[in-house]
Amino acid sequence: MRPELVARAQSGDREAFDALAAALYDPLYAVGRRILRDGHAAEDAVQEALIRAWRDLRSLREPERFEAWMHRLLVRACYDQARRRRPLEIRISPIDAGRSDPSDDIAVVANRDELERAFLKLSVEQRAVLVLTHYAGMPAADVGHALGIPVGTVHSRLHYAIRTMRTALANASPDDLAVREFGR
Amino acid sequence: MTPRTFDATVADWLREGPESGPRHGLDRALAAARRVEQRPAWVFPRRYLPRPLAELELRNPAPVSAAAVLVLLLLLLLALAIAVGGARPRARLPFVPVADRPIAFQEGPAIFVARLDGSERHKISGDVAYAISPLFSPDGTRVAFLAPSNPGETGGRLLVAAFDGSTPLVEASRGLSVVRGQVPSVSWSPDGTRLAFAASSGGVSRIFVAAGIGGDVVPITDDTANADLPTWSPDGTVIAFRVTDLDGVHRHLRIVQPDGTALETINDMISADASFSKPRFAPDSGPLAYAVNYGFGTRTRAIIDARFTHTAEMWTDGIGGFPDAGVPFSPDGKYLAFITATDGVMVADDQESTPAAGLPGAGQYTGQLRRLGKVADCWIEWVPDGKALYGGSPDGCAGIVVIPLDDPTAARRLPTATSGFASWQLLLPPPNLP
Repeated sequence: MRPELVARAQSGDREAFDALAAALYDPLYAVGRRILRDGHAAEDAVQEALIRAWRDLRSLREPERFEAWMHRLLVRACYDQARRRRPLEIRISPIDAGRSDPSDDIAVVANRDELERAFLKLSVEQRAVLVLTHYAGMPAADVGHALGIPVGTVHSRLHYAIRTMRTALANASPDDLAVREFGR
Repeated sequence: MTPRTFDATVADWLREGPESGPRHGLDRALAAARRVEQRPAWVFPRRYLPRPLAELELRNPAPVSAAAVLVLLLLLLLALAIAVGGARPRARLPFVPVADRPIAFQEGPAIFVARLDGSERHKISGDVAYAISPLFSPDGTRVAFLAPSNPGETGGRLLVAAFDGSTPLVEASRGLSVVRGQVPSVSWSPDGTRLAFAASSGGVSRIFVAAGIGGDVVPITDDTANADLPTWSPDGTVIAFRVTDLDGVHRHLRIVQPDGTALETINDMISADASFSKPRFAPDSGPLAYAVNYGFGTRTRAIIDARFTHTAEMWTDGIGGFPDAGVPFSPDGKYLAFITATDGVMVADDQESTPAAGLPGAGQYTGQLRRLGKVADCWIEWVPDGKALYGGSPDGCAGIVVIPLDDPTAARRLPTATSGFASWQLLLPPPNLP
């Protein structure tokens, strides 16, 4: 991200900010969509992050870290969205398939459903760590910066997130189909 | 599945799904961001020091010298002595180019007209026991005001005085009890020959037009609903006003021709706690601006209504002062002013209100908002040249403040001991006061 563009936006240049926002909108949306598992909520979160970015842009001391800062704002907006939205019970149609054969398309779909359900059992903070690490490919130090937590906490959250998902998958039964879309 | 395999599985699964957001989402986000102003960078000064300097300061705090403190104290004492003993008299409101135009205001139980510095002050309400809410006629020759029989009365006579007190008072309301609300329910016609006002008739508030000051008074709304806060359009063709049905739930903003024909509804709401403010016309008589509360516990908003095409919300976070006072346009129509619930006085430009695509009736406000701070309360109006605002003082509206737009920190309270509303003479060349 061009620091001079950030500097211009910091001085109140809305066109510069629009250019920054346009360049980052899709990556931010993709991250938000994966944390929240909902397109509309992700749109709202990105919008909130962009509004906060414009409002507080002058507080950013290092323009070269604009992108990491935007991720921090986005994750915070995702936290807000997750807490704001009422937990919604949804039901997913059961797919009766053997889970042992990965070459079976139906089994793959079933695995995706199970992964989705297991992922939604995580706290939104754990989801954020997983998405930034395994989807955005950010190193632990950058994830820590984006989330405002120490690197050690990043590792521990990752550990517990993976363990929670594995436990959820191990205990999944065909009747266990009601999941929460948002929140813990 | 091994842990490594599981991590890879999660990563693969996370990579599935959309990589880009909808285009309208970006447009919506940018439009929303445009309604927000940047916060200044000086809130926490240390954060904005160059990093090496900030770190140096943290690591090696400078030793505080007793001599330096002593010098600083001496300088402060010197400055205080100059401020108290040697200050020159303040200039007479040099920032207001129209300071030589008189202002009508309430002081105690009477209406006075004076210059801004308090000079040439004279009473125009005669021997009326209690007078409030003065309003200069657009031609600047007369002042209308309300005269309740006592301070607790909910209505009163509408009287008209010459601005210089040279002629006897005339009663424009012809025996009707003019509504005395939070905000005056009186409006001059643009040519200054007629007055529209809300008055109680048979227990219902209706809009009347006084055809000629002291002439016939004609109702232009019926008795099926309470109507008040009339506002004459600058071109004189219509009068806008608000209506509350007798059920107390259905509320409307309407316009009607001065003869009572061609009644049209601008906006409707259905809620016991909903409300409209006094509607304010743009100088070209096109859009209206007003404060609106949609009810159901929501916050009052300031909106521009393009009349029958779309509305655009300039501010959604609560209106302060007297919400009924509404959102006045500047004399050139480029700006609007209102008092917010949390951020003091706000000035909005009216350059970018456009219909929102695909949303009938909904508009998008993309103009700029400028915070002037908590420099006024209760009500706010534009000074005739549009370069300043005047309104109730922030100490409970016990006086009147004038706020220059180019430097709101130079806001000054007028030296007149006033209360209630005031009115600035508009069009005439500076008159000779008695």
